[in-house]
Amino acid sequence: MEPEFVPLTPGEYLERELRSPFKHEYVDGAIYAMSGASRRHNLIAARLVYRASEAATKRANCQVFGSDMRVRVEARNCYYYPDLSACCDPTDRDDLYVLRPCFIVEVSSFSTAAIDRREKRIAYLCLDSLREYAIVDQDRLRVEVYRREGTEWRGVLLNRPEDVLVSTCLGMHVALGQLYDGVEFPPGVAEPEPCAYSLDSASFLESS
Amino acid sequence: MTELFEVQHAIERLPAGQQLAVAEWLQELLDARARADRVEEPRSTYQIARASFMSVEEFLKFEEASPVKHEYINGAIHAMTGASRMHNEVTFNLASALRAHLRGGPCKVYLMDLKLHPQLDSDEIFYYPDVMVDCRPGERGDCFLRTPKLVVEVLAPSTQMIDRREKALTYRAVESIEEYVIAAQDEPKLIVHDRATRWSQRVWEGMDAVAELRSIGLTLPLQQIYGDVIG
Repeated sequence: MEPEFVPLTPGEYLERELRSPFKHEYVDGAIYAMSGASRRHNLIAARLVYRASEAATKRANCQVFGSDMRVRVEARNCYYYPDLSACCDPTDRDDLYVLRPCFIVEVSSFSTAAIDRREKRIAYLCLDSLREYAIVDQDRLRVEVYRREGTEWRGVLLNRPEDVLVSTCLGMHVALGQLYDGVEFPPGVAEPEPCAYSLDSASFLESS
Repeated sequence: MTELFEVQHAIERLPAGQQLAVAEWLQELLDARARADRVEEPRSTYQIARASFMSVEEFLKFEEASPVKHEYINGAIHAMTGASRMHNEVTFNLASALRAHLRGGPCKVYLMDLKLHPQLDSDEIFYYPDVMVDCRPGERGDCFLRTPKLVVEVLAPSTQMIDRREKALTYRAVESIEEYVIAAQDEPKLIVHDRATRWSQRVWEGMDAVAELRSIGLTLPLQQIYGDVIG
């Protein structure tokens, strides 16, 4: 008889997760272990969490989390651990997950880029509360931002040191030059797949 | 049109596909100049590609003219890479077995180059599944399918997380899909996600295993798929 894997319910996942020595993401019944990350990944992520937390102190009800906090995407039955999530909704205070984040960042490496840009973009952009989703490339000065404008989403590419990453709900502005300060990029990393959509940095900077 | 802003405005009014063409042309111009100047620093195409998200219509037009296949997710496109010899052999063997079994009936088997554009509540998606079985002749479009019954993806190192996570999630949301088969390319192994058992996964492993595809009533020895691929 062939082995059979029965999907986990979200409740079963959370229960296992609390007892597990490793973090797992949950994708509609299946779980995927998460691996550790590089020095530059952590440097960028730590700096972002610091800047976001600093901004959050000036806003009522805003909380900022690092990569140990789950974000629950009900519409897709998923739980993810983004590198940064922020929540400014005082009714969203579950101990185990954020349900209504307004800002999410993934620091992306070669191995996670496809998930961050495809699967997680689909999922995070389902969240009505979300204002911006940023994908920060750890291997080059490059940030993809998906930003809600009314009922539409707009894609923006930041790739100059003077370009500014903005979180509307936190009132956070970080120039890429600061974000990547001191980060050493590996030589000869393959270019990411060019994105043929979304690169309106000028209008993004004007309106922010 | 000599002022920069006039040129920018004109480009902004172009459809996304044409904007991309402008970007590529400009890139070539810059690359040629860089080569002439002997500038060694690499530059990237996406820095000057300026366009908003592509609509479905723009994507279909763009894709028709594109030498490379792209998958489309809510306005964004993702280029697809070529596959290995083993990937091709496994895909072909699977499709052949399906076709031999379904021949003469209403179901047809489609291979790699046909798009799937499922009817979904909130997402506009075009994928190129490795193999599809479609049993609703009335709903087949010319350049994409909407209602396959069975979908197969053959895993490759660069796309396996997409196939296992994102596509599993998407395929479950497509009402017509009853089974989603994930095939390893370098070992005899099939994983079948079955709607009938609330998407539990059955796994068949080893050259002697015999898989069952319930949705089309096929008994499939793994030897038939992998026998001539893995020596």
